[in-house]
Amino acid sequence: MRDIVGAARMRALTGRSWWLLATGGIGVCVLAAAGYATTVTDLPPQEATDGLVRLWFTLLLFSALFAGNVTARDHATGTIARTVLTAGGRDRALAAGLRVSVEIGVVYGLVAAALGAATPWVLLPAAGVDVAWTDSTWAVVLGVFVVTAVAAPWGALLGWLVRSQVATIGILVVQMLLTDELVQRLAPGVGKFGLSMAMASIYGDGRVDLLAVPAAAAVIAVWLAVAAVGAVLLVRRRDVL
Amino acid sequence: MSSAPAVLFDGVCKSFGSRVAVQDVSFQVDPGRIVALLGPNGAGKTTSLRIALGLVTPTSGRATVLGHDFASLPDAGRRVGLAMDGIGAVRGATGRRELEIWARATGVSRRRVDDVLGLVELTDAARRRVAKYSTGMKQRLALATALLADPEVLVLDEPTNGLDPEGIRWLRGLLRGFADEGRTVLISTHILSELSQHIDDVVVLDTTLRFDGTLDEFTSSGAVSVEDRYFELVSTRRPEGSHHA
Repeated sequence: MRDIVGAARMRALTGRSWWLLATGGIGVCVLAAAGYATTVTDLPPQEATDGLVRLWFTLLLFSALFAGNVTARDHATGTIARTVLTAGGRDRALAAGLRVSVEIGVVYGLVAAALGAATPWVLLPAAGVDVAWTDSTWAVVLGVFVVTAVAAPWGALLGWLVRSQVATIGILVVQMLLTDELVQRLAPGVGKFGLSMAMASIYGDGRVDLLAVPAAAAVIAVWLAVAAVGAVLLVRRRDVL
Repeated sequence: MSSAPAVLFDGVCKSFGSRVAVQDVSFQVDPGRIVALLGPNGAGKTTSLRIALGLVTPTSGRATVLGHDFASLPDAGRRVGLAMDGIGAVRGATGRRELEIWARATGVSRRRVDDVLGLVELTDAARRRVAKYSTGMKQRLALATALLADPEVLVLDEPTNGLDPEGIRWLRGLLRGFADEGRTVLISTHILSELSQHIDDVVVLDTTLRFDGTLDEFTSSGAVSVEDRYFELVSTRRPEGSHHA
């Protein structure tokens, strides 16, 4: 299994998508943080500090896109057949892919947490605001790490379910940027159970109508479990064509 | 080496919705033989190969490789090599990177990557991206990938596509040497003229099994040409509305 996971890792790091998405995601976060830093002079230092760290949750979209793309492109190129063949079966190919998606998520999560933690120290002094690092800031750092890490297996599972590169990327973007937010606005009682809104609870978005952190963690676990069961069933039933 | 048939089809049927791709196909491929799987487009050749490799689940019947369902074949990735139309390289990979990935997956050393690159004469192009390769180079890379783990069974789908005459001659020698070591080659091909030069056995499919025997039996010991015999066995299909002048 170690060799199969190693090969899946090599496939993930082949081509340009890994560094394009990583640098693109970091670039978006840096721009957002720079923009936010121009508005912090009237904010309490703690709110400004937490807000700058929190912005790095944006990397979760790129984490999901990378893992989803890695999975779906194997189907697009037909490489999936050789992946299954060398893995010795579909279940093992899926297991190796998911293992690597967790690794991708952890790396993206660490990058988001580290750069998020560094951002207030760089931008706030320049804006004339003191950094106020508190326990709530640590909670935001942890939350940003967790949601960014979890986003990758979510993306990978969608890739296995949808098996189309364009559709996987489209679904992830629409779900994370549009539908979850829209449902939350139109029907908060339902919307708070959406994956993105549950993630917002974890990184301390601060909206009053979101779930408490333990409930949000349970909701995320349910979303992942449903996607995992669906992926396993489809991988076993569908032909690899 | 296993004493079981290298590949066995036992009453295999496969339908995609209402379309029957393969119906009640039974034959076996013995070790040390080069077997050609013949049939017109849509005859079920590629589907049959994919069933044997566990990529497509048969509607009924069973296919085994080296005595096992592919999913339960120990060390399957090393024991079976595959080059099949529609299986592309990892996007963005160079030739070397592609081979290194599958070498890693099957626990093969990087030195072997150099060996097979040399074998298929791609050493000089190893650092180029596969997307920039010609059709023939891609075919040779696919063959290199199939040969990487020095497998017992080689499954090749139209392996001569894109190869120049020299490449075809080289492939012929390679496959003969491979089979002479007691290993097995199952080739799906359209090129009938190739048959007499390196094939031991012939299987003809046209949804159902039309022929299964040695090349000598196929040609009635040379009394009938390969082409004439083939067209006796399979239905010829012409698109509706096409007419000859």
